Amino acid sequence: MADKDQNLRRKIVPYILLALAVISTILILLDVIANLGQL
Amino acid sequence: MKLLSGADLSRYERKKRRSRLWGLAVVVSLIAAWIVGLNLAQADLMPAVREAMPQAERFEKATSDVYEAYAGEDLVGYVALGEASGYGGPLTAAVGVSPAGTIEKVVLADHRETPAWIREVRDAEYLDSLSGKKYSESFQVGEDLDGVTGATMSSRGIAQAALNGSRKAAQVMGLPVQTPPAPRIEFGVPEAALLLLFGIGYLAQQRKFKYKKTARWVSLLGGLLVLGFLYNKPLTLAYINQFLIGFWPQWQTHLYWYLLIGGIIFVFTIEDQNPYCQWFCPFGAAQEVMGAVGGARVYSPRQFRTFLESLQRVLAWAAVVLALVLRNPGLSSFEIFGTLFSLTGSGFQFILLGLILVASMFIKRPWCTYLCPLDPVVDFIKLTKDWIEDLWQTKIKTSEGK
Repeated sequence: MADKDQNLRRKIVPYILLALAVISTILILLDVIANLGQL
Repeated sequence: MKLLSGADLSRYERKKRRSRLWGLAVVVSLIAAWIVGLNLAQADLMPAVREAMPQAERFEKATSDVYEAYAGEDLVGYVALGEASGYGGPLTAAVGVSPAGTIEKVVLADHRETPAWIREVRDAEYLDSLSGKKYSESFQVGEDLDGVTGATMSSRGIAQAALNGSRKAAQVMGLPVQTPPAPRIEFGVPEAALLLLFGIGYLAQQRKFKYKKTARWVSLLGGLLVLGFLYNKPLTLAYINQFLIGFWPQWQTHLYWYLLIGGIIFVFTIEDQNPYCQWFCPFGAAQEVMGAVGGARVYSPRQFRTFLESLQRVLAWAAVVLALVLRNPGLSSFEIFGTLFSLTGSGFQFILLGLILVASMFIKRPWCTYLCPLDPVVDFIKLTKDWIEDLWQTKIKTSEGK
């Protein structure tokens, strides 16, 4: 059971990290674009 | 020490050469961005001049940065352009001055401050608080004027620009203007804390030092409390951009900036280590505290490692290029430090902050590992340093061979 959990985590975590990085990047870009719009 | 095999060595050499080529491309692109930025048109300051003296119908230039304001044939006042250093670089204020030398209105004509902070300044009606002051008075924020919480450096810069502008107008009017005193050296709690934190870092790096873990937590929590929550002065990309653009503020009024940038470069050169990120970065500390609560672990996804690293580097590179082209250090500085420490920022930044803080309970320092623009900057400095050392070694070997 513990091995199964470990395996599942090993498979899922990289995708969670990828999603986190991509979503954060989109938020950062939106923020910078909003700032540029205020110039 | 593990010895590298021939194949490993050639792979290592290839990787090193590739990194250096990328480094060179980055340098070329930054120089190009710097040149483009230099040649971009300067801001048109006339709308701000008109706004600073709304009752005037026409303006005549008295000097290069002072205008006489007329309503019909009557001289109703003067508008002077005063400059000073803000948080992100130089800022210019158009200062409307009455014929008696009293400030009537201050308008921020040109600036490089973070937009969210300027919003704070405008919301606090700080500019209006400067009206009624005279060129001969003191403009010390915290003593003569109430600063804006979370935008101290910006409010200080605006006050100084207003004072400089009103002095210029007074000179044109022929009023007695005394030479301004030399700026006071600003050495307070943040500067002292910074030196102390550098000291703790240095001490703890010594081989014989036993309490490294405790010292690191003391340093992290000290950074979080003092440089973060109390003074909101973490190192951001804006500092680096300011350095690259050439907006070097007066050392007396911006001692913290010099201590932080100078201290990091100095330690990096001597110890080959970045003392800031792991030891007293307040946002790093905030993530570690969250990590301690949630039991965060280090994850390094092999299949996405190159993509994630490239994403972080491209983001940092684009932010620096944008800052150089627009001559605006704070505009593309996308860190969410101010969002946490002074609760200032856009909706996007608050969402991002929430996401990062929750993620940091399970993943060790997600911001630092995947997003922080300072990490690629540190990598770049290290690459350059190693390259210079290699060149130096080659030169020594060549001269010994002769």
